[in-house]
Amino acid sequence: MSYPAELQMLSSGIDGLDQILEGPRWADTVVFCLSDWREYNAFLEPLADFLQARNISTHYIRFTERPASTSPSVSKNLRVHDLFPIESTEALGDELREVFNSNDTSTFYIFDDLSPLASLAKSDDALAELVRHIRLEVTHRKAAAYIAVDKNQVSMQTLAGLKDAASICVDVRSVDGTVHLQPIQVQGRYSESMFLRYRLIGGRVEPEAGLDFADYARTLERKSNEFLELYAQKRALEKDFQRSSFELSLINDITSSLLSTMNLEEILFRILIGVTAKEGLGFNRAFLLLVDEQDQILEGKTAIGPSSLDEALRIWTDLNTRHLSFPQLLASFDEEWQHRDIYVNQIVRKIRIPLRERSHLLIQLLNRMQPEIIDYRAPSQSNPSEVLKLLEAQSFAAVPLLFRNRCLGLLLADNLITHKEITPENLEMLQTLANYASSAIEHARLYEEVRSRVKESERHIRELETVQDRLMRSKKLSELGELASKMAHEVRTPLVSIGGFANAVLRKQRPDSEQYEYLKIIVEEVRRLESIISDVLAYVSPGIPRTQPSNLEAILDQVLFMMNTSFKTRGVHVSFLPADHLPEICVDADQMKQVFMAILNNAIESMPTGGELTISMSPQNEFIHISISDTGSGIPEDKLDKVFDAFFTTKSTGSGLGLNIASQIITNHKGSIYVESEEGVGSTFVINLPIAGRKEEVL
Amino acid sequence: MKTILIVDDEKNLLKLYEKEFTEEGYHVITAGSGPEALQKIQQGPLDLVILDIRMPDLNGVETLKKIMESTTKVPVILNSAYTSYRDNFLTWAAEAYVVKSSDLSELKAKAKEVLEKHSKAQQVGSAGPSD
Repeated sequence: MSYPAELQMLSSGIDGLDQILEGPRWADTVVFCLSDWREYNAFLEPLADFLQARNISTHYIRFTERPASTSPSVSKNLRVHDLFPIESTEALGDELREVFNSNDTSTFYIFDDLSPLASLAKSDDALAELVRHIRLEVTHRKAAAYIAVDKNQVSMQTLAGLKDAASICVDVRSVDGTVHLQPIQVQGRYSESMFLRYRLIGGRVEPEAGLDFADYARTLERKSNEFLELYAQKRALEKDFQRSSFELSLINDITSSLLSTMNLEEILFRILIGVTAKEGLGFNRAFLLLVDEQDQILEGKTAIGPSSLDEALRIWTDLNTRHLSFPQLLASFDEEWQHRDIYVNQIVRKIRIPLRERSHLLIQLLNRMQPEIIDYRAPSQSNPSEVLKLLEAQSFAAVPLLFRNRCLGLLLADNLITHKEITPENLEMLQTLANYASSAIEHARLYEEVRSRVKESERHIRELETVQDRLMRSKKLSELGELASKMAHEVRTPLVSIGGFANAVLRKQRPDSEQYEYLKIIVEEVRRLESIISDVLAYVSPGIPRTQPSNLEAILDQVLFMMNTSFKTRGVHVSFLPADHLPEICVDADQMKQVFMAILNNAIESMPTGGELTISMSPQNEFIHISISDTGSGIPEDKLDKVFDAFFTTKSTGSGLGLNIASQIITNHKGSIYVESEEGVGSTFVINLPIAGRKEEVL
Repeated sequence: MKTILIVDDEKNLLKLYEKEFTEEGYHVITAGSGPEALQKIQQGPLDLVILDIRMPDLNGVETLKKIMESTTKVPVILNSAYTSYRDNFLTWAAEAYVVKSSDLSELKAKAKEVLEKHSKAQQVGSAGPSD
């Protein structure tokens, strides 16, 4: 049904307040709580005028103990009903129904003071029950009712019941001749203390002087609009709050998940899950690109998401059946995850853009450092076909990963499968997540750096320990060397006596006697012991070479003379071919003797059944070249480079030091020594000694 | 006959050296310490001193120093179980340094060489060395 225009106008505004103050609204049942009865009567008159002017049929219902003598003369449109509620409120209900039934819709009912009925009522609730009954009828008929109650005549409880029962309840107060209409409750919601003041003038209620109805209407409209605006703001804030608290719990889930690991791989995974999970930001796909500071490139690191609708359905169904909570989903990292979303990861790994390519869309996004939605469908967008081709998406969101004003990379997300539009709210959330993500990434990197530094330090410590260990060992060795040296010297003197006397006695024996043989053994064994002692002493402290101009030929002659017996015994034939005019050179003659003895002893050992020993000595350039060849068993090729090592020996006797000492002595003389050998043919030791130190006077 | 003074604190060695060098045809006198050696050098003309180094009281190097400071110009051969004393420049004043060995041939050869060198120096213009 349609209402008169004025009523339509009055029906607008906020939840009935303005209507009550300015005029009736259909379907309202308004209870006025009064303290001064005159107020209501006076108030009804302008209302009646208002209704009459608009030809609205109005019924006035009074409750009296006896039939009224006169009917109100407010208007010819006003029909007065006097009801006699003698027996009970139930009976009154029946009478009322008659009144309502006698009328059609768009009727206005004005009720007289209900408070006399309170004494009849059996309970506090009875009046409220009556009002509820009226309200049902009024609502049903799209009519309207104003009901008066003298609040001095009813209990507080009854008053409270009335407030609940009415659709609007108005507290009417008069102070200093001004009537205040104070809405107490509007549809159970309205609680603001807006009120309008009327002045009682000569028993009539009029708006305060200087203000007309239109002014009030405008004021109310303005107030209503202000209120509506505030209300809208409040709703928006509430919505914001709801969204924020959702975001907060989401971000909380993600960040606490990010904080629980220092593994960069895992952090990247959790970020991407946060972006794509249904419970998270709900994007279809997410790509993570990081700046490689060293290579100066923007590099695609990792991605997540399906590449087709089929795959999407499979993944999302699978996820549903796994019944994981969001935190569980975030924690479901395993090393294999990148192998599942192969396609997106193939895409992301293709991204390697030098930072100097400033025209590239992704580099531009990186440099702009702000969240953006890239939509190629928008006409304003230029068409960066490479990115389009790469991601195969028509639009995507891009947010920078910022950490302390530095851009660590980009987080891209799109809805390739569902084609859902990316809203500014989505983008904002993505940026919020990215902010947390970048600090997690940076922390993980720092952690990694610290860890590798710690590892390095540990390695240094281990190295130090090794060096220290070696030092300790060498200290022990040097102590051991000292001991060995002391022992060797102490042993040498008695050996001289033993060997010397044995030799003296030996000379007096017949060579075919038993004593001769035994004494010879003593003498030889003592010699062997002495030679071992010499080797050990030379090894422990080789001594500084005390060089003086020497004739190498003479030195070698002396050695050959000393070893003559050994050569003879073994059947070794010696040929020594010195060159003419050998220059004298500066050497330590005693040490040189040691060198020759070591090599010659080695030669003798290698020729147990005799052989040829060939020695040559000649100047060659700045060196004296000495070559000592035997026709012995030779040295196996794999042992050749060990010949000069300390304690290397192929024999069961000897110290294994002789050749090592020889090599040390030659090195101390700034010369060189090496060996050539062929198994079964023989060995050749070659020594080169520098002539540089020779004296001017030659022999 | 050349006279050789052999100085060593080891009685057994003195006995061995005395026997060996006597058999070589030298007149051998012995001393068991540095001071005793200095005393014997004072007493009579000597042709050679074979001097041990490690001895109590006065060691060989100190004894050598005193011999060099004295008016007697007797040549000295140091004979030690240690090779390391050769690094001590004080020992360089000796005619030779021979490490002790049961094989006395080197010591004998050195003794012969030194004695010949000195007698040659005393009889200027005589024949050259036989070897």
